[in-house]
Amino acid sequence: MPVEWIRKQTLVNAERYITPELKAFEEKYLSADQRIQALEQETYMLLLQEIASHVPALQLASRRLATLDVLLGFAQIAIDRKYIQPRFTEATGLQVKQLRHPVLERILPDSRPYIPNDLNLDPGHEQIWMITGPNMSGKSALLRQAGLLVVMAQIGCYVPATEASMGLVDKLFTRVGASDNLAAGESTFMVEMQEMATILHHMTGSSLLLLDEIGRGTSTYDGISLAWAIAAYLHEHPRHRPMTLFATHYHELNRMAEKYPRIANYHVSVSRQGDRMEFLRTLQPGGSSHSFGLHVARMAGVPAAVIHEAETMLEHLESLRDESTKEPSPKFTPNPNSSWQLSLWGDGDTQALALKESLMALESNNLTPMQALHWIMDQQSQIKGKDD
Amino acid sequence: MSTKNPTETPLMKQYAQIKARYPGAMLLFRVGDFYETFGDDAVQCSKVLGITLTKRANGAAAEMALAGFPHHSLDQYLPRLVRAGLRVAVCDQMEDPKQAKGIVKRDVTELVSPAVAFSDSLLDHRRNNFLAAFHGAGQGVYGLAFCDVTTGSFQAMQGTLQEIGSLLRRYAPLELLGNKWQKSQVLEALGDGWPWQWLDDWVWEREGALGRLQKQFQSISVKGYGLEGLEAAQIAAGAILHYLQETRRDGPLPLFGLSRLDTADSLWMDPFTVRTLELLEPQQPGGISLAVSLDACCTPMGTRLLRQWVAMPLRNREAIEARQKVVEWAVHHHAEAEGHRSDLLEVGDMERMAARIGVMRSGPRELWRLALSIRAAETIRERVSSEPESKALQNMLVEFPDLLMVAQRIESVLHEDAPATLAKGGAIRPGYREDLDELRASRKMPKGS
Repeated sequence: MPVEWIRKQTLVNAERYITPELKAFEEKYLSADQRIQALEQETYMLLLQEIASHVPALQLASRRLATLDVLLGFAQIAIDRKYIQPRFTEATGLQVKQLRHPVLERILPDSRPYIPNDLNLDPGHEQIWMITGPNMSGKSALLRQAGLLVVMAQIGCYVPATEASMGLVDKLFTRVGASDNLAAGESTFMVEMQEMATILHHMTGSSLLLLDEIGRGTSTYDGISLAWAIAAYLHEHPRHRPMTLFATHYHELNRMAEKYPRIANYHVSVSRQGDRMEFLRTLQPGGSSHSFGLHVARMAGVPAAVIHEAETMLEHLESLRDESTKEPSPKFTPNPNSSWQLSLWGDGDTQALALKESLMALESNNLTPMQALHWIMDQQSQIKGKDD
Repeated sequence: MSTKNPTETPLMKQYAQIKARYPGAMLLFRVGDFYETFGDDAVQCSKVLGITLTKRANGAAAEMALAGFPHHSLDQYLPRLVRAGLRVAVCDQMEDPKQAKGIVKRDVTELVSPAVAFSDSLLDHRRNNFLAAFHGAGQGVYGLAFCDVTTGSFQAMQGTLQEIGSLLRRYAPLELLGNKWQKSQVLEALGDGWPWQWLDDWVWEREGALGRLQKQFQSISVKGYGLEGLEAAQIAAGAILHYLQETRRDGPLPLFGLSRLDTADSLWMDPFTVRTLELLEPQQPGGISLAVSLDACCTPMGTRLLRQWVAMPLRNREAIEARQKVVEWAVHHHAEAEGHRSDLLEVGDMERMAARIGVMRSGPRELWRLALSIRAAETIRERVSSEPESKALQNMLVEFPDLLMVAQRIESVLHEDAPATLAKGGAIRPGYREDLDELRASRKMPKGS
């Protein structure tokens, strides 16, 4: 073992030594490493500082390229989804052929394609569209797609329609979806009225208002009266004639068109197959004169006997109304040959009697469709519970 | 925290001093191989990260809550804390503990907050990272300012509470600054559903705000930003500058000019409309917003811009039609448009790369990546300017800066396989510096020795 060797480390089966020459080499090597690092660091920081002075230019270029990116993306979407370029006019108005909902049409299965609808609002003739139809008929989607059309058109995007021309919209107000919140148990009426107040204060003649089921958060007569008064206010406003889509299940509001020339009635068309019906989700001119609640119940599979009794009840209630306000209301004629209907009510079945009592106790005037549905579900589960 | 505690350890004294300098921030305090949090910070930290909360006897005083994690987990835990909405100060040891006389010197090396963050792991590349400030000047006058440090945009406005509520919903700031001494009035005006950060009263004084604005933009008057006479807007903008200076004490402020946000330029929508039309967020989990549905962008910066457009549709026919013309061109020149789109894929997120360079946060590999982005951008610019039929596109790229020199400079200095971090070595291209090349040559170990 040379004397100049220095023991560095002892392992289980080995000893490690270092020589002065090795030590010198190590130091030189290490210091070279450090100097390389320092030089790289210095060079890099100088470069970074130099490039940093170009950051404003880089940001500007980024904004330009981002703009191009969005617009080329719009073109790709227009091609893929068959969107068209909306045309802007000086005059206020919204004329659209075959308008679709940009999001819903893409999530529906191919077997159930989205049903397009025309839209034709203009402050001179059809300022307010009064759209009647029950909840499941897609009124909210119709209103939403009108709002989405305006947003898409005014960001420079093409729109899901076959033809569209429109004046610039300055403000877009929406009161859609109270029925969605109903299930969440929110007390919406106060909020709804606050928002309505904001809209009425801020609207102009170039605004678009999408009002869905205004007044549904209160009792029927309150609700009809408020909805009527709001629509009348929009029509009679001395300075502004905001374009309005007014969706309601109060068919009584159809009578407004007789008194107010710029209110036009539209309804969601329904196809009947025998005595069953299906919502076609297409808008047709003209009002609808009867409530759809019973038909929804039928579609939901409520037993025919219940439907029949409800029809009788409805007829009775409507006959109580002042004759002058009564609308001619075509109804399904009950099937007189159904023999088990009689037995249901007549054979003293306690379950049937309980159902009858419960049905008669309903204050149908103050019933929202959601409450009606809950009632039906309750009854169903009670009957099911007993049968099991 | 009590300051006069005779039995307080020197370490805890140091902690208390540093902690007091960063009010409102969680302090991650480096002790040996761990980052530790104490007291309320520890309770919050353990909750957010799901780590154990322990107690430690703090001298003769009551026990103190404590939670910590190994220092190498910082990269993993810091983003989680910030994404939970916390402002976090990272306090490191400033000297080698072995060589320290007495207690190790410590200081805050990084202060990160949800709206003032630059690292990729903290940012959602699909949306802007807005910081906002709200100022109520009384008599129904309110000011609002917004900035995104990752894009350099900075805007302010003055308006009614309704306008401000609507803007806040559309911009969805990650932090909203308010005046601590008007907290109850501010909360009454806007509600507590926002990510509030409360700043002291003096921040909201006009003189100070103007001073900060002038210093930042080296201008003598606020006329230049269109904010003349809009005192509440100026004060809100000043509060943002204060907060940025606090958060980035030494670093440059990455903002490039202030502009007035005029709500009359855009389609007015109330918050309810933005929500029910599902413009930015779906109402049901799993739903699709309009902004997402219309996103066919090739770059994250396009996706972010689209989101802003959907939040603020135009009310100016000329501007809308200028956009339509580009779309029309692309529909009719599909092949050329596809070419531009594939170049845009190469451009990537140039905007945020630029922001990180602005705060000197870019590593060599990212800088090299920027050169590639610039090359792709140049290809687009050249092709657009040489196509005779693309007038609409040329208008969109007006004032496009010449960046080729920047790319060439990067390429001349850096190695094409530059490492992510400088410490790895080898970032500088051989042949750029003779002295570096010589050192590298001498370092080569002789074979067989």
